[in-house]
Amino acid sequence: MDYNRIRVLMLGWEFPPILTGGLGPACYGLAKALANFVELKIVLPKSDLNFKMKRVNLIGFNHFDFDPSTGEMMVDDFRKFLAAEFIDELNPEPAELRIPYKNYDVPGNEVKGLFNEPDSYGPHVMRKVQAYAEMVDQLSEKIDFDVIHAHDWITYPAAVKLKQKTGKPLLVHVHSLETDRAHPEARNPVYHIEHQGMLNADRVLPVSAYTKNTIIDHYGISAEKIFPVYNAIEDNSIYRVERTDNEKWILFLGRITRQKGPEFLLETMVKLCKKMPNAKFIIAGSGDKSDWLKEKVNEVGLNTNAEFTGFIKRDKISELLASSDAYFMPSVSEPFGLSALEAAQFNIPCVLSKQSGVSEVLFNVLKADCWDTNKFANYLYAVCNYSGLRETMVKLTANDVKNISWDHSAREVLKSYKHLVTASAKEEAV
Amino acid sequence: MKGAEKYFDVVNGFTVPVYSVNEHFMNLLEDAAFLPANETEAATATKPPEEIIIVDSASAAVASEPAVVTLKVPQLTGTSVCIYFQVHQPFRLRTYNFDQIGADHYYEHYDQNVEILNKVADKCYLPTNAKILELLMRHKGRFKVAYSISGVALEQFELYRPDVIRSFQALAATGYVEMLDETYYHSLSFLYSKEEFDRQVQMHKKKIKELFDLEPTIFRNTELIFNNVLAAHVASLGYKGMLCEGVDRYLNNRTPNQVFTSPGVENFSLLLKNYRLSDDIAFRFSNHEWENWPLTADKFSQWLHDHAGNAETINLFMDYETFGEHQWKETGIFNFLDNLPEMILDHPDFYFRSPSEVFAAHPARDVYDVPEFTSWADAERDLSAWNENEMQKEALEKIYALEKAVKATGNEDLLKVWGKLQTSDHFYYMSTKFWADGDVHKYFSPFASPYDAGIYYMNVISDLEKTVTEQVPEKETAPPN
Repeated sequence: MDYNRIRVLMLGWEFPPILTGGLGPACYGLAKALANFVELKIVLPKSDLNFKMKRVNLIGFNHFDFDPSTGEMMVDDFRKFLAAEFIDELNPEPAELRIPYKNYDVPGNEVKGLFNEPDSYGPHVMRKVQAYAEMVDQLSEKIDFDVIHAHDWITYPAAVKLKQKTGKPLLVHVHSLETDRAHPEARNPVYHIEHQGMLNADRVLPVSAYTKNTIIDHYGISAEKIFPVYNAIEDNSIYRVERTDNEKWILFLGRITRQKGPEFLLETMVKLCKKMPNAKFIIAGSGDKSDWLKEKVNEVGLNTNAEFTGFIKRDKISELLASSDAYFMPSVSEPFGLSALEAAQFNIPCVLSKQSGVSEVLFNVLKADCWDTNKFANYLYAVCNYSGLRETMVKLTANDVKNISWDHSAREVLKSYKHLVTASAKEEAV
Repeated sequence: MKGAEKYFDVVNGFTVPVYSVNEHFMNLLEDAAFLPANETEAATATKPPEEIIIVDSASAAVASEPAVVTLKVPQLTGTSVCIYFQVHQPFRLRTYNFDQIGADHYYEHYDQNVEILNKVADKCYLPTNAKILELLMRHKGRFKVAYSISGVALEQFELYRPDVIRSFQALAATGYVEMLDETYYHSLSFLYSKEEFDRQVQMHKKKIKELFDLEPTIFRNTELIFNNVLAAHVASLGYKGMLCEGVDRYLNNRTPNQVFTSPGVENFSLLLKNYRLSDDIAFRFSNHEWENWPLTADKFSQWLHDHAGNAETINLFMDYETFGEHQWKETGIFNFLDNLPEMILDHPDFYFRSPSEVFAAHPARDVYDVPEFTSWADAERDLSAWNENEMQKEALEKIYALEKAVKATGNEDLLKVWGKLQTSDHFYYMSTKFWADGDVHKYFSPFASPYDAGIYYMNVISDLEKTVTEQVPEKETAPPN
C-alpha cells in the first residue's frame, strides 16, 4: 500500500467561501494541508464552483438536478467538481453523472432547493441531513476511497451509513458538541446523532484534549480511540491600527449565545469598569443572547463602556483585531476557540476561559475559570495598564503561534489514516 | 497618615503562634553553653599541633598582613575546604487584586509565609542547625562553616519562628562559624541604586551585630551577583573580601580552587564557588539518573582529596535549604553531612576554613576580571533570571523609581515596605525562562504563572506609588522617574 495515495472521502458541511462559524475555515485549513499527503474528495451539501483548491475535488450537492423520469440526481458535467489539474490530465471529456435517489421522506425535487437555502442549517436542517446521507450513500458507489472522514454531527448519519455498508474505516472529527452548544445535560436528537457517530467510528478526532474529556464524560466513548488534533490558523496579513483616544478596547468576538458566557462577560464588565472607566468592550457578533446582553448593559449603566457591532465580516474583524488592546473569551465551554488564535496572531494579549481547547496550545495568555470574573477583571486591568506584562505576553505568544500549523495537524490525522488503513488491510488478508 | 498606620499594624495584629523548641536541639544548646567561651581557648583547643597560622575568624580579621605570614610556611597550609550556606526566605506577596489598589495596603501573604517558614524550619533549619552544632563540637574547631542570612529571613524568624534565631545564635556562639554580610533585603539594589545598596548593607551589618554580636568582614551579594565594579565598591565599604561564582567564561580554564583578586582593588580577595562539586551536593545528590548516585561522604571526600597538592581552597557554596528541603531527609542527606567532615579530615593536608581564614592562609594567586555581571543562577550564570523580560524590567524600574519619593516621606514603615518589595525573588517569579512550553514543573514559584507574579506585584506597586505620592509634601511631589 502506498500511503501517500490513501484515498479519503471527506464529508463536510460548511466550507469556504460559504461560512457561518469556525467549522468551514477549520475544514479548509486541514484539507489544504492534507492534500499534500493523500487523495482527497470532499462532499458538501453546498459548494461554490468558482472556489477551487489544489488537488482537492469539491463535490457540492446543490449543483445536482432531480430527474423525475428516472428518479435520479444528475449533473451534466462531473468535471466541474474536480481540481483544475485533474480536469486537464485525466478527464479531458465532459462526463455526465447520475446517481439514484430513493429517499421518499425528502422528495427528490425538493433537494436542490434545500441545499441552496442561504442558511446551511436553518429550520430544515434535519431534512438536509437526511437528504445528504442518502446522496452520499448513492454517490459512494461511483467513487473509490479507503477511509471516511466526517466533520461534525450533520455529516455523521451519512458517515455511519457508509461505514455500515462498506466496512471502511471511519474517522469522525469533532469540532463542537451539542453538550457545549445547548447544555451539558442535553440528550436531544442531535446528541444521539453525535453519540451514534462516535460509537461507530474507528477513531474520534476532537479539536482539543478539553473536548476529548467532554466526549468521555458526556458520551461515554472509550478514551483509547480518541486522538485530539488541534486546530491551526492560516497565515494572515497582520497590521496594527494605533488609536489616539485614551480608551482601552477589549474585544469579544463570537456568537452571543449561552456557550460564549455572556453572563460572565457582563459581570467582568461591571467589575472592571468600576475601577477603569476608560475600558471599552467591543462586542462583535450576534446570537440569541444579544438583546438580553444589551438590555443588561443598559441596566447597569455601562452603555458608554460597550459597543455592539452586530455580525461583522472578515475585513471588519481584522480591523478590530488590529485596533484592540486585549482579547477576551469567557466561554463556558469552547471545544477550540479559533478566534483566540487569530487574536494571538494579531499580537494582542488574550484573556481566556480555561474551559477552552485553545488554552492548551497558547501558554502565554492569561487563563481563568469561566465563572471567575474577579480574575478576569484583574487580568484585563493588568494587560491594559502594564506595558511590560503586555509586551512579554505578546512576544512569547508569537512563538506559540509559530509552533501551531495545519501541516502539523494534518500529519496527526495522517497517522490515524495510516493506522486504520493498515489495520483494515490486515483484516481483509485474514 | 491613616494609610501608613494600616500598613504595619497588621502583622503585629496577628497572633503569632508559639512553637515548642525541639527537645534534641535544646540538649545540644545546653552542651553549647560549655563550649570554650573565648577565642584563645577555642584556638588552643582546636589547633592541630603542627599548624601555626590558622586562627579563628576574629583574629584573622585583625591580622594585618595575612598573605605574608602564610608565605613563610606554605607547606603547612594544605588545602582548605570552605563551606558557605545561604539562608534566605522572602516575604511573598499575596494575590493582591486591582480593585484593592488605593484601598488596602497589606501586601504580604501572611498564611503562606508562615506556612513555608514552618515547613522549612522543621525540615531544614532546625535539624540542620542541630547537626552542624553537633559536628562543630565533635570536631572541636576542625570543622568550620560560614553563613549568610538575609535580613528578611532573620526578620521572619523573629516574627514567626524565634526558635530558629536561637539555634543560629547557638551556632554563632561556638566561635567556629563565620557570618557574612549581604544586602538586608536580598535585593538587586547594586544594579539600580548604590545609595540604596549601601543603606541595606549597613542595615544587615547592624542586624548581625544585634543578633549574633558579630561584625562580618566578608561580603556576598544577592545570588552571588558580581562584577569588577561591585568588587571595588564592596572593598570601599571596608570589607576584606567577597564571594562569587566561578564562571567558566571568565576563568578561562583556570582553576577556581585558589584565592583571586579583583583588577585594581587592593587588600581585597575573592573566593570563587567550585560549582561542579557544590552542585554535586546541592542539585545532584538525590538524582537517580546521575552516574555517581548514590553520593556518599566517602566518595565525595575522595573527589576532594584528588585535588590534594594542587588546590589551595575548594569552595562549596550552596543554599542551606539543600539539607532537608531541596534534598529530603529520606535521601540520606543528613547522614552524608554527618560523615563528611570526618572523611575530609581523614587526609592530613585538608582543613576546613571559614572565608576569612582562607584569606589568611592563602595568598591571592591570580586576578579574576569580570567586566559583566555574573551570578550563580542557571546555566547562563548571568542576570537573565531577574531582568530578562519586559515585565521584570518594568517592575524593577517602577520599584527603584520610587526611591526618592519614599525616602522623602521620612516614613520608616513605608521605607520597610519598599525595601521588602526589592527582594530578588519577586522578579525571579516573573521569569519566563522556564515557562516557554508551559511546563509548570520547571517553574518554581508560589504563583501559578510568571504572569500572575508580575500582575500582583504591579498591583502592589501601584498602591505603594499612590500612598507615597499622597505622603510626599506638595513641593516634593514629582512624577516618578
